[in-house]
Amino acid sequence: MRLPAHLAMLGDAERSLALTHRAVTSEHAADADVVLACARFARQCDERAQAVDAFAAERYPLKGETFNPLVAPDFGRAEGDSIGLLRDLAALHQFATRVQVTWEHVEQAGHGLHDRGLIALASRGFGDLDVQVKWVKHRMKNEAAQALIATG
Amino acid sequence: MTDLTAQERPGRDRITDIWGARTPFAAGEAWPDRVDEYLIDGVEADQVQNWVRGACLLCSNGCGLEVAVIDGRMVGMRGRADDRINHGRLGPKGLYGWQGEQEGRLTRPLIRRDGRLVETDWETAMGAIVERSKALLETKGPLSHGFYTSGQLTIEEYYTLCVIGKAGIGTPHMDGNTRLCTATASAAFQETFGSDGQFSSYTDIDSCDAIFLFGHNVAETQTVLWARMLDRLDGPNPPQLVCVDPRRTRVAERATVHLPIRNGTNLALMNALVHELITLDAVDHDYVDAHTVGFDDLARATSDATPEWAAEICGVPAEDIRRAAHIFASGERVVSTCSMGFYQSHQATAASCQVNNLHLLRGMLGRPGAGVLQMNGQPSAENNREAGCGAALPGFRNFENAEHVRELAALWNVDPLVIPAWSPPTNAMTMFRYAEEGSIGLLWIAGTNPAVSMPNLARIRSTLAGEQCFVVVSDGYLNETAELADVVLPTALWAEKTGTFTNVDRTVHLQEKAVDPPGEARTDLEIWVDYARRLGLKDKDGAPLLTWDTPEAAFEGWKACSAGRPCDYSGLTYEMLHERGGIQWPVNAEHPDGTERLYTDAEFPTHPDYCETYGHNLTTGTPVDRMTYLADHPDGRAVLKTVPYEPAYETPDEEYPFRLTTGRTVYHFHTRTKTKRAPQLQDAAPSAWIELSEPDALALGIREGDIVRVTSRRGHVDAPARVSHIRQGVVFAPWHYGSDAETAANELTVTAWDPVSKQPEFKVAAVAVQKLRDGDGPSPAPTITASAPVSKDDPWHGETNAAPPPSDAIASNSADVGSADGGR
Ligand code: SF4
Repeated sequence: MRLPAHLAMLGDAERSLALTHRAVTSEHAADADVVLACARFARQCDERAQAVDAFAAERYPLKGETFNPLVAPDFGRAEGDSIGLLRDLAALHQFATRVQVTWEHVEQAGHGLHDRGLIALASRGFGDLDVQVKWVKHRMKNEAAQALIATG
Repeated sequence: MTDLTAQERPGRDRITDIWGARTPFAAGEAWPDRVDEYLIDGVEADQVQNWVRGACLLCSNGCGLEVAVIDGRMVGMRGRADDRINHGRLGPKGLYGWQGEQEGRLTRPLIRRDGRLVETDWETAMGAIVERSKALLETKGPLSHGFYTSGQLTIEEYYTLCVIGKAGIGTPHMDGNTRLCTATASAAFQETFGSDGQFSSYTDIDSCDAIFLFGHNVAETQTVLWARMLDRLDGPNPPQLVCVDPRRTRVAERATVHLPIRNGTNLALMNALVHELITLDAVDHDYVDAHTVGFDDLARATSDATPEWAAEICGVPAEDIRRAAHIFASGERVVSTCSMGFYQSHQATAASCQVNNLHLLRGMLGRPGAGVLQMNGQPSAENNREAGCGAALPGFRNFENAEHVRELAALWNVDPLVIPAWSPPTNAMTMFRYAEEGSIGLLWIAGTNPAVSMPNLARIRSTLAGEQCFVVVSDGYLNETAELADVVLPTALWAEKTGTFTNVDRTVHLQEKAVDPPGEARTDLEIWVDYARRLGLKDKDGAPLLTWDTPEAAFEGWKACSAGRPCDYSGLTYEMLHERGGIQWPVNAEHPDGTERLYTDAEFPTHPDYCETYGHNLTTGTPVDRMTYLADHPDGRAVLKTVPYEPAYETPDEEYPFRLTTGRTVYHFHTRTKTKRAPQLQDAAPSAWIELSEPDALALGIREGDIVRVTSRRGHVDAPARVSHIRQGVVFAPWHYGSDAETAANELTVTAWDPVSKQPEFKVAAVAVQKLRDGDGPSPAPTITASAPVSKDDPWHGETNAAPPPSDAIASNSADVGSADGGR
């Protein structure tokens, strides 16, 4: 069974996503709404990482095999202006979507294993990530025209 | 109405007798008339040459009045007895505030030359604006333009600018300072009912059996509305009163239950109140089943929000929360009002939606005495929202509904592509961010003073002063914002022009021009019509985009735009408004005399083809998409929703152990531009102060009048201390006094806002307080309002002293120090 390695990878991915959110907050300190939202999302990522770690330790401990980590995309070197924000949000969107899909895989496995606890955990994780992904997408949509037309 | 001599005239002193003589009345009776009048010294009523009709424009109440004129000059005011809002009464600002228009006015345009503002002529000033405008449009396109307006202009002016911005230039960057005062009211209506629009009526106060005031210091912010409530409270069968506010306002003093919750914990309380209603099964299930969606989710989301849980967070006894819930549960006719204490906080929309939800759960709306008044701060905030001058399409249209956009394009005869509907309209905070980075290269600020009223002032001031953005200010005064502008245009103010505006309960008034504006000042309408013509804004057939240049013609334009929408003005005329005073929209063929309350048939504007919005995630502000919205089938049913409580963005810690809240006093309006020039008002509250509780003052060695410094992570203010009845651990600073950076409360506030309404968080910031030096007398704070000093004569004083609660303790109604906070 490869689920333990997948869960371990997911916990790490949530921690990386938290770091990514925090990178956005420090790069774009002038955009207060981004700072506030990403700081909240980062906290939630940490909480989910803990939750998945704890669940896995009890039910699906690692048996030796590990997967390569999900690596956060190149990040945080953009300018702190609208175009930089747009680029960073695009990277964030990509990574958050990847983490969301990873939760979806876990949920499918939960069904396959008839494990209600795992299904509930994964479905919460998927739903939370859905909120994040939608927010990032919406925020990019708001920023795109301004960044591409009126800056520079 | 009694006939009184000049000396006895009620309203001769609304400074010490703010609410005037009581005229008590019983539930179901009409509020008696009481005409207040003030004429300047030496003038008697029979000398007045003209009494010009209109309404007060110094708060969202919109009291009907007449302006006394002698030889082309205003000499006084009197209330209109036949007006539905005030039945003749006027408060301190209404009676005296107009004098501020006679002092310190701008009379000529100014332009910045070599770093200084110098007088110029209109041709030069407008020429400079249009030259910059054209250059930016050519090089950067429409998104280089931003318009930041006010809650004090007329419908005609808002709508004119709406057409310029949305149909001519095509910029999404239009917002008003209504963002600071009323955005949450609008957002909460939209989330719950699908569209903005106050559905209740002030007359509901006349027959209710309970009044809930959520973060609304009505005694100071809408004094005449409070007079109406007081007359019910002093009449037979008075309503019960529940007041939610960390300060002990005059409202709190009259309350059956006062919940002086920690500022920043509103949603915890609201979730607990909803929890209690559901637990008590005080739910009108027939109504909820037939007319709402989302009950199960609401019940689930509040299932753990017990009064005990909320009591811990809010710092009030669980028993008091239960009592409040019981009053709501047992009331037959409950009116709730909701204002800045709720609106200017981090979960503002969610908390305000819960106020709507309480009423929906009980089926308590759309009938006399039962309803919600989501308040506005400023007098014509409602119109900024309606007429599309702010971050919305006009007529409460949905920018995500292509049909609504096409409707507007047809009305304006422009290509639908010009209308900025590809993303949500930009809010004020983001506009200033774009101005800061220079991607907005022309920011036009009309009738407002963001250099004092916005959060984090240092940042706003440097944005306005910088080279990256050309700033145009149209205003009656050279205020703090105008001083930083590149071009300043002198404008006509209230009663110097004709136009309409709508108060908080949908009552439309016509203010007729009473006097000429000073010097070369022009109306905002004239200025924008001129701007549009100079810019050559055309419709798609090459005809001028604006087809009007008088207020009445602009009003006709607005009527056409509003037709068929919730805020339908199509049946209104200037003549009707002149004759009858205030009339409530919608006014159309179906309701030719106006409409007292909406939703009497529990049919809500949530139909997907009619609604103004599909709603938002209340935690993140992300819009709900149409497909998801359709899946819930609101189709005329209201939407029950909430989210879990989260702590405020900034909470006290060791370094900054106090919770700051900001607000206003009864004698001033906004940044005092007008009211500081009205001697009675200025004398009554001449300068800033800082309020703190007696136990906190004792602990810090601070006495009444000592000069204290309040410091946050962003700045500090210095002012004399008022030791008041405020909740322990909370510090209050009035935000009117921003002309001096030392006393601008917004130096302290956080740059943060509610994710849905984008209304700034002015009600919670973590601060430290220290004494700087001894004072030389009491602080200048008013003594008969929420800022009253703790005094030995006060009946509550002994109890407060007997058991001062530690700052994190639970504050009970009987032994605590709260007092209410009003806000903008
Ligand atoms: S209550 Fe408001 S509208 Fe009425 S007189 Fe006072 S300031 Fe003016």
